[in-house]
Amino acid sequence: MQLTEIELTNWGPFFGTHVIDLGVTETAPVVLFHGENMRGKTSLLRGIVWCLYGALKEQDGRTPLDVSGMVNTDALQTGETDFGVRLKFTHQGNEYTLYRSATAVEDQPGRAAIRVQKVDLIPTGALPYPAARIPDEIDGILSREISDFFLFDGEMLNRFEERLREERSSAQGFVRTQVERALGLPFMKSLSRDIDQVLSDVTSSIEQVLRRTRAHDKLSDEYNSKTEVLAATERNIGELKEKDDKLTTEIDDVEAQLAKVDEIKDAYHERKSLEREIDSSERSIDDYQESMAERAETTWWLAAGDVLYAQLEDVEEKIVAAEKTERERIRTEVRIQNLTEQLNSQVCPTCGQPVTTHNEATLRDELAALTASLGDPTNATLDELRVRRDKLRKFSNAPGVLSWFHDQERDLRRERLKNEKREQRIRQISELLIGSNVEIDTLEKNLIELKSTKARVGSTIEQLETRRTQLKQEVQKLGTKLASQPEVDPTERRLQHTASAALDVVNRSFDAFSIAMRGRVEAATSELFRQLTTEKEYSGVSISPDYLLAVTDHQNRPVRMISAGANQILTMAFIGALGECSVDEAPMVMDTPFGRLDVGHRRAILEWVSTFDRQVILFVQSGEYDPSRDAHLLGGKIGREYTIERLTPTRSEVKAA
Amino acid sequence: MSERTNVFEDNEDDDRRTFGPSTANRDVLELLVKQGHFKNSIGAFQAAAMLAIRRGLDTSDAPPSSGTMWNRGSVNLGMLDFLGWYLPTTAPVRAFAQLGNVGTAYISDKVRTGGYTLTEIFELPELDIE
Repeated sequence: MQLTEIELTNWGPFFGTHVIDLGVTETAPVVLFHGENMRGKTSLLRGIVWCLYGALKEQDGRTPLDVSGMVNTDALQTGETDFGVRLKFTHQGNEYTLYRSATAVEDQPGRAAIRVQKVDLIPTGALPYPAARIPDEIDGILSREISDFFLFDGEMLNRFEERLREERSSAQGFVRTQVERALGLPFMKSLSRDIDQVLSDVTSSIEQVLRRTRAHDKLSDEYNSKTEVLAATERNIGELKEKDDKLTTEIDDVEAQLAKVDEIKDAYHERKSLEREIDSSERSIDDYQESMAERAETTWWLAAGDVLYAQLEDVEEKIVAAEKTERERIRTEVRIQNLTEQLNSQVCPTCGQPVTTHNEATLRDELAALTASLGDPTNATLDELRVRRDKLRKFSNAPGVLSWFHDQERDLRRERLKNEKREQRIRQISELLIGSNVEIDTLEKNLIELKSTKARVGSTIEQLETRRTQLKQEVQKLGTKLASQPEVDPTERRLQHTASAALDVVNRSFDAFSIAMRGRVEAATSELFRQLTTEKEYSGVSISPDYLLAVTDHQNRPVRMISAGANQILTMAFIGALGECSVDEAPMVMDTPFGRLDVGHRRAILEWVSTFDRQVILFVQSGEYDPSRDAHLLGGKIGREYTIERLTPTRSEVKAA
Repeated sequence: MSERTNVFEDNEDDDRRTFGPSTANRDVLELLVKQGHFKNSIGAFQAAAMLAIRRGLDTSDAPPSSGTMWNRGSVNLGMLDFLGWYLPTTAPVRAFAQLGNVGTAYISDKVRTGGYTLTEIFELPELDIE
C-alpha cells in the first residue's frame, strides 16, 4: 500500500479543503512535514487513521477519541457542514479512493456533533464497494490490528516502551501478543478453535449414537466425564481470563491516574521553578531600578543632557571658528607691520632693493585694504567661549549616560515581559492543580497489589491451560476410540478422523510457525537494533522461547539493566521489525518520533529511514529535525517536503517547503 | 531651550534658604520615589527643574511652594553653581524652586497615570553619536 494523496475538509486546524500530494518514488520515498507544536501534525496522522478505520483513539492508545473534536472551529462558526478525509492510495498495482465524510453541526455553542457518516471505497475503473464490505477490504489491505506498527506517534512509542519495561510475565505476554498480531497468528488460533469445535460436535454426535445402542457404556462414560472436566476447566479459564481482563482494566486505570499524578508532580515542580525564576528576576529588576534611581539622582542634569550636550558641541564649533579668525587677524597685523616698515624705510626687507623699484602705489593700496579689513581683536569673545565650554564640558558624557538609561530600560522591559510569561504559565498550572489531592502512595500500593493478583491469575491460567491441553488430548483419544467402534456410521467416523487429523496439523503448524516467526522477528529486531544503537557494548536482541525480549552483550547474554536511550531504541527496533515481518505492506507514518532521542540515535534512525524504498511519512518539529543539520542523513531520499504553517490559532495550512 | 537672558533678577541676599514643592507637586514627587525612579524627592525635583530648562517652561506659571521641605544644602551644589551661571541669576535657589515646581507640574499627569518609564516621563532622547 502506498498513499498518493490526502484531502482534508474542515479537519482539525485545516479550514476548507486542503489537498496534499503524497506520491513518491522508490528512489525518494520520504515525505517530510515540518511543523511546530499545535500546527496540525497529529491531526494529519489522525486524518489518515480515521479515513481508514472510522475511529480514533486518544494518545494513550486506549481511550476512544470522539471524531467530533476534529471539526474545524471556524467551519463550525461559519456554518460549514462538510467534514471529511479522502485518501488516494495504491495497493498491489490497483488504485483506490477512500472517502470518509460526515456532516458537522453545532449542537451546543462551540461544540460540534457529527451526523450522517458515510464511507466510499472506489477502485479506479471499477465499481464502488458496498459499504458493508469496506471494513473487511481495508482490513485486507492494512489490518487495523497491525496498523499500530505503521501509523504511530511518539506517545505510542512511549506506551510500547512502558509495556516492555513492565515486570517479566506482563512484558512477555505483551511481546507474545504483538508478535502474534504482526504475523497473523490470531487467524491460525481461530482456525484451530473452529476445527476443535467441529471435532467436538462430531464426537458428541457419535457418542450419543453409541449411547442409544447401549454399547461401550464405559468408554462413553469416560468420554463424557473427561468432556465435563474439560468443560469445567475451560469455564474456569474463561472466568479467570475475565478476571484477568478486569485486572488489566483496573491496572490501566490506576496507571492512568498515576500518569496524571506524574503530570501534577511535574506541573508542581515547574511552578516552583517558575516562582524561583520570578523571585530572582524581581531581585534583578530591583537592582536595575536601584542603579537607575541612584544614577538619576547623581546625574542631576540628565533631563537637559541632550540640549546641554548640543550647546557644548555648538560652543566647541564656535571656538574653532573664532580661533581661525584670530589667526587670520594676527597674520594680517604682521603683514600691515611689514608693509608699514617697508614704506617707511623705502627698502624692501626681502630683496634689499629700494621700494621705488617695486610698485609703491600698489603697496600703499594693499596696506590701506588690509588696515580696513582688520577687525577688532576677538580675544574677549574667545575667552568667553572658552569659559562657556569649560562650564559645559561636564555634559560631554550626556550621550553615553542617556544611552545607558535607554539600555537599562530595554533590559527591564525584557525582564518584565519574561516574568509576565512566567506568571501566565503559573496561572495555567495553578488551574491544573486546583482540586488535585491525589493519594499517590495509595495508588502505587493499589497498583502493586493489582499486578501481584494479575501475576497469580496469570500463573493459574497457565496451569489450567496446560491441564486443558492434556484433557483435550485425552478427550481427543477417547473420541477416536469411540469413532473406531463398529456401530459408528463410516461417514461419521471418517469425518471424526479427518477433523482430528486436521486439528493435529493446525496445532503442529501453529507451533512450528510461531517458533519460526519468533526467530524472524528476533533477527529483524536484532539487526535493526544494531543499526540504530550508538552503544557499542550491545550486540543485538534476543526473544526467548517464552517471549522475553532482551538486549544481549557480545557473549549473547541478556543484559539486565540497559540505559533509557537503549530502551527507546529497543522499542523502535521492535516496532520496525514487527512492521518488516508483518503480513501487510504499508507506508511508515511517524509523528514526532524523535522527541526524546539524543542526537546520535536520531541520526541513526534517519540513516535507517534513508535505506527505505517504501513510503515513509515523517511529521517533525524544529527541535527534532533541523534541515541544515539532518537533511543529508536522509541521503537524498526526500521525495516531498511540506511546512505546516499556522494562519490563526484555529487555522493552519500546508505549503510545499 | 531659550537664549540665556537673566529672567531671575534677584539679589543674592534675597535668595531663599528654604523652599518646597507645591501641595500637588509634593504628591507627584512622592509618587516618583514610590515608582522607583528616584531615591529621594529632591532628586526628582532636580530632574524636573532641568526638564523645565530644557522645555523652556515659563516659571511665572510655576505653582507656589507650600511650606518648607528642603534647604539650600539639600540641593546639589554643582547644580546651583550651574543655574547661577547658566540662567544667569544671583538667586539660584529661588530659581531652582520655581523651575522645579513648573517642571514637576509639567510631568504630573504621566506620573499620576503610572506605567511610564523615566525616559518617557522626562522625555529623554537617545543620542546618535558617530
